[in-house]
Amino acid sequence: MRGYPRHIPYLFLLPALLYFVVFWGYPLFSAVYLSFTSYNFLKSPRWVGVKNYVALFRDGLFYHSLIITVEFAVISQLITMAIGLSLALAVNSKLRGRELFRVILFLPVITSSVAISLMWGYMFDPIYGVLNSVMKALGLPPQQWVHSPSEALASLMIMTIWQWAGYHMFLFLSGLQAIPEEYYHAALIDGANAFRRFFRVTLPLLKPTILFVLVLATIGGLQVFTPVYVLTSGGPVLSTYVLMYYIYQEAFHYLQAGYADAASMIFALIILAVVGLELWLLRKGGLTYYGQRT
Amino acid sequence: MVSALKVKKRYLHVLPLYLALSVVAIAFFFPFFWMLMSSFKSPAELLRLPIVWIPSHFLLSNYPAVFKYVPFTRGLLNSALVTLTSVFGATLISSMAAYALAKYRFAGRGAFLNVILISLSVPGFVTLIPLYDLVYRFGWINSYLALIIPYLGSAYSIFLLRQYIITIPDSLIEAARLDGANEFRIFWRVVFPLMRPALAVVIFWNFFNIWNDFLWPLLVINDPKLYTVQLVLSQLQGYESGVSFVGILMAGSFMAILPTLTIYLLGQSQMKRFYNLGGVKG
Repeated sequence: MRGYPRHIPYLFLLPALLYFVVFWGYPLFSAVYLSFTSYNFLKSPRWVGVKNYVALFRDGLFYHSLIITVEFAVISQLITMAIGLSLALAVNSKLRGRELFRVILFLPVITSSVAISLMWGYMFDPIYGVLNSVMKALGLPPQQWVHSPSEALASLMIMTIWQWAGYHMFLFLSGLQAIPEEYYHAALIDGANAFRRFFRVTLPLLKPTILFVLVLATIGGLQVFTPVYVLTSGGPVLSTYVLMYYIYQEAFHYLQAGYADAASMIFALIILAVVGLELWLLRKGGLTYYGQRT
Repeated sequence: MVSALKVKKRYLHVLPLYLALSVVAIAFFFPFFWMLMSSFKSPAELLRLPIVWIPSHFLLSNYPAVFKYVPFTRGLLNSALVTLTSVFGATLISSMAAYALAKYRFAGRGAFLNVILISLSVPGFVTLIPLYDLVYRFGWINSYLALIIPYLGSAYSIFLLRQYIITIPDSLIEAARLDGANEFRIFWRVVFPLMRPALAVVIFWNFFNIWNDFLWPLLVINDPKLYTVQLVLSQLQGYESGVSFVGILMAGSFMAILPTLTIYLLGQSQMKRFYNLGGVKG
């Protein structure tokens, strides 16, 4: 079936290949190398062995960042997934007006995080913010939101959940629509109620989608940066000093690029471990590569 | 009679769901409504308690004020230039690569596909510092090159387009080949037009991501002349932290999200077509 010169596919591939070699492959190796050096972007990197890693294990701020980042990611992403799945189930039926609903829920996904942080920053204002007005109307005590060390991280979680719920809904929805109707008919004939249909048909068949969303959410949630930069600068009292902010500060503020790079290597290994664990936990149950259906 | 009862019963069944969904929709839409309302409020109204839900008269002066504090026009133009150029480049480069990976058999094809899949699952921050280092050594800091070139490769776009091109029948390509069309003509005239639904999604997605990106421009640009709109917005916030300034801040935010908002709303029909096509095949 070949009727073309042998070099043709390489010509099509060339620009992408060039890009991935220079702007992805090289930085990837460079990332590993720089983590063993002392480097400040200005002078050439100096090999220091595992010194950065040793120092990181003694760095209290690094531990603190690690813990609150994991806390942020796990809590916010699990809630986002639960909301996303519920919403997807709700709008999967042939409801009138569901298009409008989808459009509205997807709006935060396409909106800039800077603008979102600014509008939520105003809503979070303890005195003039709309959230405390609502709390008051509901008879609940006013909160300090991002201005209190004990509430700042949770406030950012609320904002993040709002921002990404629509995206998760969308992903779950395409997973739900891939489930053949016949399974539901069969379950109905067998007399399964809605509860049983969900746990015996929907959930098992949705496993690949759940897995995909979980991996995506883990990677996304652990990388939170912009809301922290815009709204809290890691504070108050370091309560929102997440890992990306830590790496940013170390590399570009204190110019400890090698040290920051080692931190991002450890961070990457943690993500790899978490994602690996998720894959392993969800392995049983017809794992297919999700991308097939996009 | 019986069927009328049935219909009524069905609606009663759906009613709570509708109510719940309406509450959710309102809650999700509220921040946008609030941003818009606040952008029309005077400092006095912003500082009034109990809260002013809808301004007594819609003050427009917050919008021109944004341009007085920061180079907002410049930011919009920079973002437009950077986003349009890189979306165009990324789409072209990705669709060519996707075509090669989908419709040709050649040595190294599997390896490149693996690279694409691996890079999809490596979080972006891993290469952030070395990428900055590379761009710094190229002398691209504070230049458009730093804002455009690193966006040109998109593993996600290549992957998605490839999945779509696979479904285009080989017979179309072979027919064109028999007619004597060269390979680039086949790509441009036969395959590219058929890719449109998938291209639409890739274009939208890249547009939103590049327009909204904050961290990368923050790193490579510190000359206010080259600020993207997101950097300008963050600069505006730095001016004043009081609530009386919020009107101007919200006016700026609204203007900054207007382009993505417009494209998203106008693009609904394209997006829908893609899902329909996807649904038929799946």
